[in-house]
Amino acid sequence: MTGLLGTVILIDACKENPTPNEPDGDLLDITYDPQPYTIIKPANFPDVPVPDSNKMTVAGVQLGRRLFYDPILSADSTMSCATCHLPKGSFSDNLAVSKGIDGIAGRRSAMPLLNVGYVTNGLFWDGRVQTLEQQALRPVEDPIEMHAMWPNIIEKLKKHPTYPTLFRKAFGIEDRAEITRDIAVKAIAQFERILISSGASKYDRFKAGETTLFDDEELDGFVLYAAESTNYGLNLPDAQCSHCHGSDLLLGNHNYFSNGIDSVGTYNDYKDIGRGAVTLKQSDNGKFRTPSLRNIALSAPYMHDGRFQTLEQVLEHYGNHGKSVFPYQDVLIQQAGFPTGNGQNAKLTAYHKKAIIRFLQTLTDTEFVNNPDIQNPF
Amino acid sequence: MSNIMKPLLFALLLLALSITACGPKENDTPKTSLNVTFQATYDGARFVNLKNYTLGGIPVQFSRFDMYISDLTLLKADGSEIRVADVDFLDFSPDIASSDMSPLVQRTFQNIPEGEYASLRIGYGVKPDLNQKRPSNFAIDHPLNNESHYWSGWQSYIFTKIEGAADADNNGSLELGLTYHFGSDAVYKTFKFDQTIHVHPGEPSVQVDIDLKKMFVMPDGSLYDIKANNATHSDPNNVTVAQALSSNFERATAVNQ
Repeated sequence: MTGLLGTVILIDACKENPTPNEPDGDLLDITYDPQPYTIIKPANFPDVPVPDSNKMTVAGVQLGRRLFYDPILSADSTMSCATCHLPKGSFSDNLAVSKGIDGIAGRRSAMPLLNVGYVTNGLFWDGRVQTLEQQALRPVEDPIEMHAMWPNIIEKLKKHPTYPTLFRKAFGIEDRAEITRDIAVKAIAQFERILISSGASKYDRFKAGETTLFDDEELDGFVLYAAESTNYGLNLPDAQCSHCHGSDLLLGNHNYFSNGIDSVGTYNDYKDIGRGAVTLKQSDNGKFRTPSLRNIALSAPYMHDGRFQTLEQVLEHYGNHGKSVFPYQDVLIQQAGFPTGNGQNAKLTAYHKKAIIRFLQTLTDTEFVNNPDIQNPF
Repeated sequence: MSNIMKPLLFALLLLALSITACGPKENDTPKTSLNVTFQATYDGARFVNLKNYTLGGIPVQFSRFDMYISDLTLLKADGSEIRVADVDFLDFSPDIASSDMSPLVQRTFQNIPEGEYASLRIGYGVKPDLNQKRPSNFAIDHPLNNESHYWSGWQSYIFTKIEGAADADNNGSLELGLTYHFGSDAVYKTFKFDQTIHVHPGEPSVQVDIDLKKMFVMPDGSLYDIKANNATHSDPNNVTVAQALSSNFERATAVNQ
């Protein structure tokens, strides 16, 4: 009799108090009706690549947005993705380097996330991961960032009053026990893929045909940037910017370059070897991914370590042909400016630098940073 | 026409069509895959990024060598041809590898009619109908969605990039930057290489070697004067240097199987 009673109690206990790790379909009463999400983008932008394994849904983007802004992803629930990637900074934090939950400063600047969905040749400054899903895994467990353990974060999400429902709606899970880090980062990646330019920047309108939109200085800056002198009947040099930063939509899917911000004499002299740590190739030491220049005026400071506070400092660096020499800085940096006839090039003038900055300011997209669909939902 | 003749003619027509359908056709030729390996060389040996080379006695190093090709085409002796690739980007700048050895760019093309082909034709650059477009016209993973290889000033893709530096005054420092960027329709070149190519299952890969040093060897055997012209990429109306160097693809390329 006692044994039978014990069995009944055990069965009863299992029914009424399931632990989060014992699937019993506790989310099945919630409707799962995924609606495809159409990414809004300017008409002249290519489609954002979306992996088959993580199709965009309305519920997936909503969940991702919430996770992105929720400090629940950090060990002490004080820091979210958005702590370092704020809309007003074009999803950077305007700090040279960010500090994690323990107050420890990182070694690199938070990269802006505008148009990050277009980047297919490696994420982070050194390109150490290939997909947004892989990228979103890293900061959570990085000891100088959110310093958490994914299993602990997942337990918090399972016990949360709202998240299990949102995961059900986004991914069709039947039970909160099916919440995993893999679907959590899929949701974050879905949200990041909607961080697309509005197409309303002055540059976009200029490229779309409003050719009189630029004043003379901005046009000169564009010509310097993209080496368009002949097309506009101007006598300005090639500032060599577009070789690395592109001369079409400037979406940021760029290569890795050594931009000569440190004077080094060997490949071992870089304080941060960047790409070389990923490829294990000495000649990649000191190379970093070229960022998009869109919203550059909003995302100071500049360079991978945030050493330059202003665009003036950036142009001073490039206009003076960098601090290093081939092969420790890219050969094009020394060729900014008019050829002087001996294989060398004159440095950019004060006006050249000013005009380029004026052009860079035309890339500011305030409509993007103020887009209500990408703001903090809390 | 009588009512008897109509069905008879219809039957004859069907017969004729069926005989035509049974005749030898291109579609009946078995198809297989074709492997092609592109390799960058320097003076006949595998090109090595940032290796110390000499060019006419001048110490040089090259840090980038890449190019677009278009309309890779197999030609038979009877003049018929099979295009195996529309456009491709060959990047001989080492990426993920622990050495600076130029990577082999290996491609496999499917559904190529089996047979013996007499030559291979290569278009060097982006062919004009595609060169009218711009990166944003292509999906993000398409080889032509490549902003760093597009120049709005030329309204053209940059077909080829050769970058490096030279110690022009022999003082031990590589002070002379070398940046040869070819682009614009006027620079697009097509060359045919006579080489029997066997396309059958199990045949070895077709080897296409492109020698970087020979890119600087002019038709008369002289070396291109890199001191006098160390760069070409700024003036869309002056493609003289790009024309001269891109013509050298013909002698710089070797096709073997």
